[in-house]
Amino acid sequence: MLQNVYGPLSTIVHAMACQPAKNAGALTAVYGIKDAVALIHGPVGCAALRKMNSFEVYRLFPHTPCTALKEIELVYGAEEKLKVAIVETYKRYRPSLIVVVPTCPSDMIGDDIGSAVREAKKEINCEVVYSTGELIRGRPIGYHDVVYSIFDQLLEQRNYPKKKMSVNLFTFPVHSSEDKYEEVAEIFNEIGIRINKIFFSNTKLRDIYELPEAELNIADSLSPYLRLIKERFKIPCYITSSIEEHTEQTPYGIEHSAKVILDVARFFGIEKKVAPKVEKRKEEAKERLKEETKALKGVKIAIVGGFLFGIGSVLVKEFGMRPSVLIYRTFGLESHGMSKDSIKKIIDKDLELAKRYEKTPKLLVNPRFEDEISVLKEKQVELVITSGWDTFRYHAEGIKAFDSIKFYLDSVKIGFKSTLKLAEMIKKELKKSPKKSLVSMLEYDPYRVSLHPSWIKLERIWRAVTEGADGGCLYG
Amino acid sequence: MDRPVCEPFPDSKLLGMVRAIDGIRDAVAIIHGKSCCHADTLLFKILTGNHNDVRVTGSGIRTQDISIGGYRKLPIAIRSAYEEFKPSLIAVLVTSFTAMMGDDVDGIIDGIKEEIPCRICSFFCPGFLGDLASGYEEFLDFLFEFVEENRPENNLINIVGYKKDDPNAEADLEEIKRILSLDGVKINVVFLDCLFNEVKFATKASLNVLISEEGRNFCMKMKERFGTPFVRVRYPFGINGTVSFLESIERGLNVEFDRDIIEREKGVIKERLQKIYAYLEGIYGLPVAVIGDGSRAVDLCSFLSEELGFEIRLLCIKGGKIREEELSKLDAEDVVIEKDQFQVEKLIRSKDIAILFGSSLEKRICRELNIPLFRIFYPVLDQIFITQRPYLGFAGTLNLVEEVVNAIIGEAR
Repeated sequence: MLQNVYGPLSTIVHAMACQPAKNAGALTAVYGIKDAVALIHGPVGCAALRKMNSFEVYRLFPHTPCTALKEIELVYGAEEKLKVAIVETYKRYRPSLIVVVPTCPSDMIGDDIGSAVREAKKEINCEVVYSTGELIRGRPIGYHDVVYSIFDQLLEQRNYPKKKMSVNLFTFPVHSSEDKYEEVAEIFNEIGIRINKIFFSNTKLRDIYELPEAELNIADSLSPYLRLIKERFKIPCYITSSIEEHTEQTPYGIEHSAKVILDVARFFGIEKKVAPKVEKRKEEAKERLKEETKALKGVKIAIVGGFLFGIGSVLVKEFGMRPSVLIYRTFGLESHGMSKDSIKKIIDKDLELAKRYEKTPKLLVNPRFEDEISVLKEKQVELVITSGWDTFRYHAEGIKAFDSIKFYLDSVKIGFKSTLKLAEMIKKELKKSPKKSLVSMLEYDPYRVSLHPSWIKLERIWRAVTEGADGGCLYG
Repeated sequence: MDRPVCEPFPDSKLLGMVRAIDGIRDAVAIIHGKSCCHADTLLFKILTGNHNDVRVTGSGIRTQDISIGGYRKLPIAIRSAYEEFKPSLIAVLVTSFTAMMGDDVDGIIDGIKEEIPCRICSFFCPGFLGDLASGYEEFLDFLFEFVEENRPENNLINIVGYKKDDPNAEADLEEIKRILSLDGVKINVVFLDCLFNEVKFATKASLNVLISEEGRNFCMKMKERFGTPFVRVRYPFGINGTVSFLESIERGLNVEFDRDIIEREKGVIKERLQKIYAYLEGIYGLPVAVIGDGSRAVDLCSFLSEELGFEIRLLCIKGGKIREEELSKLDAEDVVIEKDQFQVEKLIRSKDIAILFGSSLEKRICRELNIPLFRIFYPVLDQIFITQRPYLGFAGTLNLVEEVVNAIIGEAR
């Protein structure tokens, strides 16, 4: 629940007014492993701020011990201090794994962290891994580096016993990851595919050692650490999301969920054998969905953000809703580094898809809110699918709205059940009367409708810095 | 001897500086460094203050900027900050990365100051230097240079050492204004909750009222250069604290306050407390711990001990400035100055306490021990304060009693 409550606040540090940086990513990765502790190699002043968790603003990082580097150590080096600190960290927290996370000062003095780690390991009974900082790129920065370093330094290149027909499932250890794969895991079990491990969900160090025993990895996208696993252990990776190719498919919905399951079955050579079972589940789900979506067919909707990142394509393709209006607020994509050309391509592609389901969908790019409202009224839109925490703005204008981000954070899963749940939720939303709540009387920017005017100032400054100096987004 | 490992509280000079600059209502802070410093400091600001008044931004430095420095990005950030906020003061805060790469920040500022019609300054705040208190103090020292000679006015005071992002600070300041106004005393400038231009009029006050040690240097300089006297006051927690606060000001101004006013205020408190007298009897003697900053923690302890009758099992000062003699007067079982959260939690576990007075950082340990947490010290990251329910002053006494009793009867095991 708290991720929703703090959602609007956390947007400000996600490319609006600044960027969550490598230490937040690094600590998120470390604390995705239940029996691990991060040791921040840096001064107290640096570690003092690292309690703050940009990814889960409502939750502080549990432990942030540091090596408390002083000025003099920045001159003469701090390898010995790091070694002693690793030993002390072990004594204090008794973890199974210590991950040394560097800071700007330790990066800049060029300590031989590897050597300090090797020396410390002789004195303690736990694993120690060090992150290289920013060497391994990928978003969120810091996160990939730590996960890569953990796999790289803990998993040596050798032959591991294989668990036949087993898979590892990968997810980001925040945003409702706990049960994201719940249903698909249940289906895999039913058709004879074993779940070796789910990373990172209640993951412990011992789970990492068993990672190479799987025959296939399944993930949202191909992260650098999955490439490493692929190269080192010859374990291929199946990507559930089609975001990189933009092939009109989301990784969710009944059709695509069935595709994911059958693709994996094909990998293990059991597609023909299990297809009837999967088809049966799919047909049952479709039958239920047909019932659930009777009232949704032909309902005119507006989709904020188009089809690429949201649930829009499921609503249109599987629920039969009509995409009457497509609305884009491009500043979010731009501040995440997407070029204007790429944004245009996405919009064109979305429009092409929308035209298959609606004769003349209206396109609005960065509209003023009042213009948006007039178009929605003119097109008799019955429900707006929003991509932020701004449903109240539409409600205040008497227009029904559904918050797709809340659905994404709380309920989205690969499988059939979450599609049915989505249908139920949309139906429920359509029955509700729009409310004119307290929040709707507050001041907002006319364009960036979810932001207060003072935050717009911060966003503009950040944009000026990123565009003016870099010609694109900041990355670290 | 230094411990090889420390789990620090948010006690960095950078954060102290940002908190202080935030107290100048028309100032903007630019975190000149990488995203870690910027994002985390911004989050502290957003979660402890008002969402509609955030004046912390960054210069967006990245690793690759190490070769060219901030000469491209910092001017853009400064120009843009000026354009958006039209501030009177822009403070560039040099963090570890930009400090160690030897960025010529003052040179960059010199290069553009002609085109920006406001004061631009820089402060050196790398993680390996100073602490929160030193950041706050250094900014006050900087402000001192803008104080001008004025004719002091009777019964006009400055408050020095106020932190506007302390929990309930806005309501506390209102209560302080109220109780002073009852005796005809007005506040001239609040350090720090004022406009930049107001700083120069600080000498209109005939007394500086020092509420926390971080402002002592500022007060001493004011006394030395302009002859403005100062008094060190207690945080006005509870009746005793408030009376002591008023008496210190009374002495400092060399006036006599109306005792009837105090008696009337006390009468109101007494009348209300009668309504819940049985609970006050019940909580008398309960063991508690206080984990907080500087004199605010000491003064709260006095209230809890002297007025509510709690047994202070542990007072831990985890930050802020404090004078040894303040600690020696306290009736507390264990008094420590400890900046390592691991050690603090170990200490808390060793005391059998019924309630903890601390900050959001003690939430985890309180959950572990299944005891209520009363959030009264910075940073409070998981509560909001938008109503006029002060913790300080006469009105604050009742609010504190109400909230403390409710926390105990509603949440304690």
